[in-house]
Amino acid sequence: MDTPYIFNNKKTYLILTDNLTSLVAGFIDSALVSGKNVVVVTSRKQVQEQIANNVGFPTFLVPIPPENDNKLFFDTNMPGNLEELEYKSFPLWKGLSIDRLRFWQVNNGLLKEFISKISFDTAVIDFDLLSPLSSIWEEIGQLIILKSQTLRTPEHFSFLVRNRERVEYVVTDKEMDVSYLSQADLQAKVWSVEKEFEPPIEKVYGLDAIYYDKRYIWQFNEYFDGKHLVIGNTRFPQAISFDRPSIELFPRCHPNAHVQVMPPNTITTPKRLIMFAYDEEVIDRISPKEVLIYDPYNVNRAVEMSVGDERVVRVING
Amino acid sequence: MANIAIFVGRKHHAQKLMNIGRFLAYRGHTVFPLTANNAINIDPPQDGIGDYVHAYHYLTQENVSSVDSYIQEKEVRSNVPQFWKDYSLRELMLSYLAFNNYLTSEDKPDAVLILHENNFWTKPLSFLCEQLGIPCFAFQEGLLRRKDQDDMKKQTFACEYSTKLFVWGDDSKRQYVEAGVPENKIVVTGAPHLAHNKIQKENDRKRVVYFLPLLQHYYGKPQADIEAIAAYCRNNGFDFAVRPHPFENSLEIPFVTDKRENVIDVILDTDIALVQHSTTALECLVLGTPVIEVAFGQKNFIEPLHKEQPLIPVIKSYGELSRVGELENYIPKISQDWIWDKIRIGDLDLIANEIEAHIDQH
Repeated sequence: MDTPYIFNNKKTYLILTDNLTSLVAGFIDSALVSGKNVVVVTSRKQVQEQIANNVGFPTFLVPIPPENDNKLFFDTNMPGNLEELEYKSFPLWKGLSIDRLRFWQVNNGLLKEFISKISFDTAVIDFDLLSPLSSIWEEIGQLIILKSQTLRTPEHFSFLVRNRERVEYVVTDKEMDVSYLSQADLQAKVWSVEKEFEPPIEKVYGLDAIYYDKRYIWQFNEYFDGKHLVIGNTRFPQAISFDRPSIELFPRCHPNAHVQVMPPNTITTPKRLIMFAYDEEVIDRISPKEVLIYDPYNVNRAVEMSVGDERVVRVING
Repeated sequence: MANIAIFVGRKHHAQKLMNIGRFLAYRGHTVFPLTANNAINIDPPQDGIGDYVHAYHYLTQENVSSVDSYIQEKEVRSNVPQFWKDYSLRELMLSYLAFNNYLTSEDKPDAVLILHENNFWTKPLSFLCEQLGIPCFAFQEGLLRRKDQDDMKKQTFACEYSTKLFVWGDDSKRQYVEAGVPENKIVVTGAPHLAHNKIQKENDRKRVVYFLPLLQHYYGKPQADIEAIAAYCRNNGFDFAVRPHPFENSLEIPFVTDKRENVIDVILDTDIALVQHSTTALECLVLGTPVIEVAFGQKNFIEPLHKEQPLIPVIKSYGELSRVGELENYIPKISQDWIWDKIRIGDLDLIANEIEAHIDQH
């Protein structure tokens, strides 16, 4: 694999992305227009082709295959680099390594080698936490972050807070993220994406609904009188989910809840959606008038995740 | 009589421990499932276990805040995508604090049973039990692979904090002792989940079942292999079914699949089991179901049983499928001692006696 050699003194961005989003395309375009050097790297062949076809810019493909060498894993994770992770005298790696990290380790040696050979000023990352490229984010200096789907999960937030000293700014497509990011003392730049004109219509809402996901069995049971789906004095007659396994598992995990969970497209858009964690994608797709979140003890960090989203009228976390 | 919590994080925990749980209840103890969150939740333990104690019920907002403060400061240096680092650490630490609060509350149990120590729930749970003086009992989960010990010392970590480790046979005991588990912690009890009665088959046709490993670990071409076996069975008067691995998330196989909840029910309804590096192979042998290992045209899979016990047949090509019909000629020759060295039917009395003795001591 060839590595890029850059011979001028202009600022150079290293863009790491496994998605071609409008923010990625826009950033590449504007960096080139403003005379910056740009090196784009992806681990997905399909994205390399998409960027070539849609942006007209070459992208370096650096494969990051799964790492299956368990001996290597033992050396680096048991405890290896994790030795200092301890909580109240419990060595955290013992609960973290064999049962969790082992399943998702990747071989990012080629990516590290590639990056070590180029000189760049700032790394620009598409903020997709599941991309194998993200395995080296903690090691690559100054960052510009491009929103990828959402910025609002506990894992996104932890990364932003932990690395705020080296994040120059975050690019987002929604104004509401400005106040959310200010919680982490981060500067946001809002990149307006042109939307098709939609004539104003008076939206008709249906009955309130609970959004159910199998991840929130405990939260559901904490708040609901299962027999009638009641919180306090309010009865919620319907429950919806985009997740097929959640729809199938509901009656088996909540045998006393006499309600059927249905796909959202089978009911009229609910006026009020009841959730157990903030989920930007679900709220955008269902588009209720209001959202109420029940997040006991703030386990899903709904308090922080919902800041700036005016659709969320209340978070109950007691 | 004691309050005994059985930790159930996934469905197979319940399936492996339900027999001993029922038996302890029969002896007069109050036995209940204890669970905690698993945000991946591919097989929620809440499905079918009745009333349970959820450790998160004992969390506080301060706990959650302290976990998030810790994660926002500490970087996990590991070659995995960023999501899994923070997500896994958060889930582990929330479990730790939830268990700690539960085990120090008025509701605390007199003893805890776990399937094994090697996951993000049971490692902190067994650690806390040891610190708080609550007896904790671990079990052998499945077939022990020497490679797991060589690569990751998996057997060594199986019983660091638990009071006792109940294992399937003398061979397992030897492996755990070699791995450094103190001998006085290990009790050979057999596998408690196998304490079943043979069911009556409804017809006389022989039933062949192919117990698949996780397809990501399959040696060979699963689609072609299954088609060849199905054709052989069809032409030779055998019923045939495929049994997907219980952790296989979504598997659409165009053959008869047997997805009954508990694999033991499937084994007991099987006349000839086809297997590939599987715990199921041992379970079949001890339950009297003949086993054939399958390695069509490939190099051997990891640690095949036929290397240790030549009387277990291996089929290396489609042409050798005729051995399925000859199986009755040689399977009975495998000595019971060899099988029992690997695995025995669980002795529930022995396990219960051990548990009760330690509860009395505490």
